[in-house]
This record gives sequence, C-alpha cells and structure tokens, in this order.
Amino acid sequence: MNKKGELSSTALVTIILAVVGFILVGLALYNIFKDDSLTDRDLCRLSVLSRATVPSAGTQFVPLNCQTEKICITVKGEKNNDCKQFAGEKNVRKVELKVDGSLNDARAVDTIQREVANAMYDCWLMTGQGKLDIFSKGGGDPVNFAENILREISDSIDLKKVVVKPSCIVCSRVAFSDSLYEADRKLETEKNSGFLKNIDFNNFMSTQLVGNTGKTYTSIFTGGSGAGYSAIAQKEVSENKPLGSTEASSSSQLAIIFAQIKVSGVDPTNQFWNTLKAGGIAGGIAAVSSPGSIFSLPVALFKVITVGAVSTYLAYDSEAATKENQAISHYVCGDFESQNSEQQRGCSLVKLMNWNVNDVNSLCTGGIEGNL
Amino acid sequence: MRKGMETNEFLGFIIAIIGIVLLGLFGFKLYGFFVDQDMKNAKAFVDDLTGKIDLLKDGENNTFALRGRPGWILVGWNKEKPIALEGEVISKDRKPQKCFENSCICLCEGSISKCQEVGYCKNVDGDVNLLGQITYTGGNSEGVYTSRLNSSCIIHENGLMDIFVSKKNDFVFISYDYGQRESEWVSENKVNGAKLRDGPYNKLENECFISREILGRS
Repeated sequence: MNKKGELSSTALVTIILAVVGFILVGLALYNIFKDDSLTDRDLCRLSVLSRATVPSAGTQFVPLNCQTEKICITVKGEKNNDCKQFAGEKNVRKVELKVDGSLNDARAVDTIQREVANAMYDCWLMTGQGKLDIFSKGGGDPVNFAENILREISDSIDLKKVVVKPSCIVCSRVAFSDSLYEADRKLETEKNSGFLKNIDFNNFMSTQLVGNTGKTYTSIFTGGSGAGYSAIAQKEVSENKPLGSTEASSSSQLAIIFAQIKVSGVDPTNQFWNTLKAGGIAGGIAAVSSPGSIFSLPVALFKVITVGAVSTYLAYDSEAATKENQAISHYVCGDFESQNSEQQRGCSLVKLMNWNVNDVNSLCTGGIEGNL
Repeated sequence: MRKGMETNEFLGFIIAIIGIVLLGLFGFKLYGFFVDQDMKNAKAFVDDLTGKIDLLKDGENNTFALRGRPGWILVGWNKEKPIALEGEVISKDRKPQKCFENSCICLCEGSISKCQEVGYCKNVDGDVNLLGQITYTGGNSEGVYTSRLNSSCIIHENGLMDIFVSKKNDFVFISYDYGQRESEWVSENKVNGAKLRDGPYNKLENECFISREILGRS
C-alpha cells in the first residue's frame, strides 16, 4: 500500500506520458512550421487562413507569411543567364527555355505564358479565391462606400473621386534575362522569327486548361459559368503589353498582385449591394465582350457600373494605374466567408501588371503586406 | 508521511515555476509585440536592405523596392573615414555608439541624433555612402531654376520605395530619388534660394548634410 503523498506508479506513468505527449505535440508543431517541404506558398496559405479566421480585432497580430516568388525566365545553356533584375534577391526560381528558331520557340512561348498564368492561379488560390477577408483594415469609408459610389454615378462617372484604399500582397514577380532578350533579338534580326512578340497572356488564359480541372484559367477565375468573377482584358493597348519592349532593364518585370477592398457596413438589404452581387456576372460578360470600352469610354463604363461598381472601381483604378500595360485583372465581389464578428463584403482582385513602384503604390494605397 | 507531502509540494512547486516562466515569456512577447512594432519594422527594413547588399556581387547594382517607414530616416556611417558628400568632409560625431568602429547603416526614428536610443543599426562590410536626391523648381526675377538637392540621408516615404544599391570594391552606394517636388523661392540666392515646400522634406535640411546644384534655368 502506498504511503500518503507518495507518487503511485499510475500517477507517475500519467505524468511521464503527459510530458512526452507535450514534447511530441511541440515537436510536431515545430516541424510543421519549420518543415522545408512546406513551400512558401503553403506557409502563405496557412497564414492567410489564420488571418482570416481570427476575430477581426486580432488580424493585425497575425502576420501574413507570404514571400514574393521571383521567377527568372532565361535561356537554357547560356553561361551567364541570370536575371539581373533579381541581383541581390532571395527566393529566385529560374525557368530555363530552349530557343533556337525551331519548334522549341513555340514551346518557350507556351512555357512563359503558363508560368505567368500559373503564378496568377497560385496567387488566387493562396489568397482564398476572394472569399477570405485577410486584411486588418479596409479602405475608405466603409459605411458610406456604396452610397458614395451611387452619388458619384448620379453626379458623374468619375470613380476616382471615391476614396478606396486597396491592400495588397505581391504574390510573384517575373523577370526576363538579358540572354532571353538577346536570343529574341537575334532570331528577329536573322530569321524575322522573334518569339516574345507571340506572347498573349489574355488569349492563353482564356483557351488553356488548368491541370486536370477541365476548365480554362479564365473559366476558373470567372467561377466556371461566370458566377461571381469577372475578367477584364484590355486588348486595345496590346501594342504596349509588358513584353512588348525587347529592351532589358532592371524594371522589365511583371508582377502578380492580389488586392482587396472591404465594403463592410453596407446594409445587407441595400439594393445597391444586391444589384452588385447579382449583376457581377453580367458585368463580367460586358467587361470581357468589350474590354477596351471599360477603360477608355465613360459611357461604356456606365453600363458596367450599374452591375458592378465596386469591382469595376477596383479594376478600373488598377487599369488606370497601368494604362500602358496589357492588363489582366480577375476580380470578385461578394460576402467574405471568413470573419465572424460582422458580415464583411468586398472585392478581391488578382492582377498582372508591370513591376513599377509608382504603379504599385497607386494601386495599393491601403498598404502592402507580406515579404517582398 | 512528511516525505510524501514534500514530494507533492516539490512537484507543485516545479509546475508553478514552469507556469510562471511560461506566463512571463508570453507576457514579455505580448509586451514586445505592442511596444516594439515600429522597431521591428525598422529592423525588417535594415535587415532586408543589408541582406540584399550582402547578396550583391562586386560590381553589381540593382534597384530594390522596399517598404518605406514614414517618420524614419536612413543614414550610414563609415568605419574610419568620415562620410564625404560632394567633396565636403562630414563629421562622424553623430555616429551611434552601437556601430562601434564599424561601417553601419541605421534607420532612426525622427532624428539622426536619436539613433542610439530609437534606431536600428547594422554593420556593413566596406564603406557606405547614402544619397537622397530631390529635384525641384523655383523662380525669382531672373527666371525659373531647376535645382537638385543632394542629402546624406534618406527620409522615408509611405509605400514602396525604389532604393538603388551598387557595390564595387568594398564600397556600397545607396541612393533614393524623391523625384520632382515643389519649392518656393525665398531669396535671390540661385543655389540656396529655393526652399522645399513639402513639410517632411524640409527635415532633410535639418537632419542631413545637404548640397544643392542648379540643373538649368528657363
């Protein structure tokens, strides 16, 4: 019989098991967050989910662990084929292409387009497909946001007057090496068969399938049947598409940026918001069918505003910031599925744009999170 | 019996100590999070910048987009030689003690003189030189001048900042171009007559060593 106060063997075993259990759980958690097999994308997705599921007051205490991926597209076999744009940068992934004026060039163009499309797709998945509220602060005056837009529509269609501050994550940056530009220039000069001029991201994303999903990139971004998502392809300025220039410079980079605005506080029964939600598809179709008109013709813009002012604003503003680009924007407006304190709604956008600090600052007036 | 009680008390004591230590650590972390966020941001900036400098090979240069920390000033000191700006030798008497005798880059809150207390510094190999440039125009009776102000430090702006870094022969050059700013003409002096109108940039004149040059007249 045990003496009083003396540890029984059962208690001792329990304590030991508890201690060992704690250690194992601790090690498991440590390994999860330190595991090299977890990619930066996984870590970012985890942090996005964490951010989206904590109460809104706590979002600022959960950092977004998103690292901008740098993709260097270059020529295979060249001795010095680094992207000088990424000199001094970490987290650079090199994509080597074979270009020689043969069929390989078509494959190279396909690879470039696929890399960019996949980067946009990853960005879209990683950030919650526009369903998660991941930024701690919304832009502008959320309560009067929709009303402001309605007022603006009635006064004029100058959406720039509405103060909205999108917050952003720079998901990826894509750069092209000097050797790639040089190879293109050489082929263009000798055989009139430069390959960079054949790059058309808009066309690629609307025709190519994503893995085994059986859907095109655009189809997935637009929610299959077009439900919710909208796409803008500004083809009228395709002459000035990001790869249009064959001159390499430190700024010759593309960026894939996720931006989000919040419009919390809008009355759920608000006619405007209901129209916006229901009309997102029509707006998207209108946008796709007449892409240029969104940007250049205010009258055409008006018809889109009536079905998606908030989303159009976000896309419009980003288009305005990069008017010289062949800009692709995929965006969604709707209720966020995260956040339990109050129902939040807003618009999210994944955008391909030239990497230019002024343009990025113009778009991301609410701030940029993540590690650049 | 007494011995058994002691065993229980001892276990309880150990668990209590562990609990208190964990609670203390948690409180410390929480306190640090609230209090030192600005300093953490400053640390992130300097670590990021020096990391990129380290990765640059000799002879390379690049422009890095870094998140600005408004209200903070980027400044650098050399190991032995005082920093020279436009040929003028600048005293190193404000060098924070935490840099010791090394070359260092510091991000200081509000004022360079507060670098020791509210600034984050990191040593760099070789010599370092910082240059902030503002181009501005101002006119007097003789015409409108386009001038350029060169400063030995860089006042942070909101949003991303394009920081140019070059590295050659153990010499690190860091520069930032503020672009075109408005100015007003306050005297007839062609070089020093223009004063920057933007409030935050006036600080350059107070905090940093500056030089001016006339770029053109129209």
